[in-house]
Amino acid sequence: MVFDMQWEEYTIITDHDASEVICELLAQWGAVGLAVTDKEDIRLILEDPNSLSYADEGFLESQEDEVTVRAYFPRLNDMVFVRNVEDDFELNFDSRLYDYNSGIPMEPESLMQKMSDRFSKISEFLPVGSLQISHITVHQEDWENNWKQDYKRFVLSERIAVCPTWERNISPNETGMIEIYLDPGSAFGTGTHETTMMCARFLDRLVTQDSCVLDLGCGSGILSIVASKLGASQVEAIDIDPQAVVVADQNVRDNNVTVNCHSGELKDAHRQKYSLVVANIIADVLVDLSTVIGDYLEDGGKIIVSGIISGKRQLVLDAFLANQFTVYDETELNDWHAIVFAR
Amino acid sequence: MAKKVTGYIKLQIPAGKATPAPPVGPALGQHSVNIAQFVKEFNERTAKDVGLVIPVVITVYADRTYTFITKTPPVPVLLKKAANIESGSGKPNRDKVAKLPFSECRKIAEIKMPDSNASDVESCARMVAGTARSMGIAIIDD
Repeated sequence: MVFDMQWEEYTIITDHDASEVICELLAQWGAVGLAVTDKEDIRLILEDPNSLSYADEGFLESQEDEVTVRAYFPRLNDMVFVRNVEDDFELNFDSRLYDYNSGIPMEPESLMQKMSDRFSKISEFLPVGSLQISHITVHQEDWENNWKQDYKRFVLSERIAVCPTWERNISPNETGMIEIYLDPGSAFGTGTHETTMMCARFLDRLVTQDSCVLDLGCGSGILSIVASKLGASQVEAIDIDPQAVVVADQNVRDNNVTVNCHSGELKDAHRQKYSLVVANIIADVLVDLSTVIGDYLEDGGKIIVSGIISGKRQLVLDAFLANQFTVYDETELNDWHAIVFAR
Repeated sequence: MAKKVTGYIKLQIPAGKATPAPPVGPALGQHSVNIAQFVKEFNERTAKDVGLVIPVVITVYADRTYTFITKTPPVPVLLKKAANIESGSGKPNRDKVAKLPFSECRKIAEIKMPDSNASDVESCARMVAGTARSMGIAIIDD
């Protein structure tokens, strides 16, 4: 029989101001880890002018105003194990009798009551919000692998399919399509998002053996890998985020292709001219790009721009037209636009 | 790339020692994040801080990729350091464990401002002072 590891998960609903003190107490009492949902965290990210993250309208407003803290305590034989509670709890037993390696056993309900009593005292000094506390038992699961269940091989463009690396060996490629191997990681771009998918479809039509491709804002490197697998003679991938470049480099190696990945901006590009540039970024960045990218294109060269939400299409179009580009092709998918410009 | 946010979570876990066990597994599993990858990256990036608990905010995007940023230490941790104490008071309204001048709260507020929803350092400092008092640290005017 497999040993069933268990934890007791306590959920505390509270105010932003009190949440850090509550976390501190929970950590001191032996919580093995804390997970906090606080809309202020995501607000800071969304409101950062340098961030490429955005959310649907109403996303922030739809989030709970109160903070949710989840704390996990080890659980065994219907008891939870705590530490260092003597100063905070009125204990009706002698805690010295217990072995401190595993902690002091308490009934899960009793720990909840103690939390409630102790956290209430904070209200004299800080707003504590509704301070609702609940608890459930969490059993060991195969967290490392469960998330893979709904991530399967999928068709990205006419000739390209994306296959998770773990499926590579268990189910052979029988479709005759070109496969690229990619797992979702800490750099954007798995191909399931519209902006990436539209770029891949254009690459599928435009890349030839003579293509010299620049992937600007490469993220996971997926578009560079696509270009390379389609036969482009030279592919260079640049991202402003060094972490994305680390991920892209790994993905390039997993796919046995040659792509020159490096961090930086357009001015750091290694070549003077490219026949095809793909820039899956956001509208505002693309507008800035329209004034300078022409210098990096060969005669007859093209640029694929993507990451354009419906309301920003005209803005991007006007910017490129004003810089002597013409529209070569255009497509849209679920409120997203991608345009190929030529000059 | 334009990255559409679909989820976010802040985790407080020991630097360099994350595992798929709670809170990582349940918290990231519900957003279908590549947990093995996160654990590996978190441990690599925080290896130099082993012994500390580092808050990280993970943002999850529509295509199931994610990013994470490390945050400033929690206010109670900064207060304990400033007051040179191991833990706060269990009866903060009665038993005081330390004293700190308000200027220390202001210093902590300055560290916390990038992560704070406070409009200015003074209001952030008042929140820090409230936190201190709730831990049994007396705040004295200076």
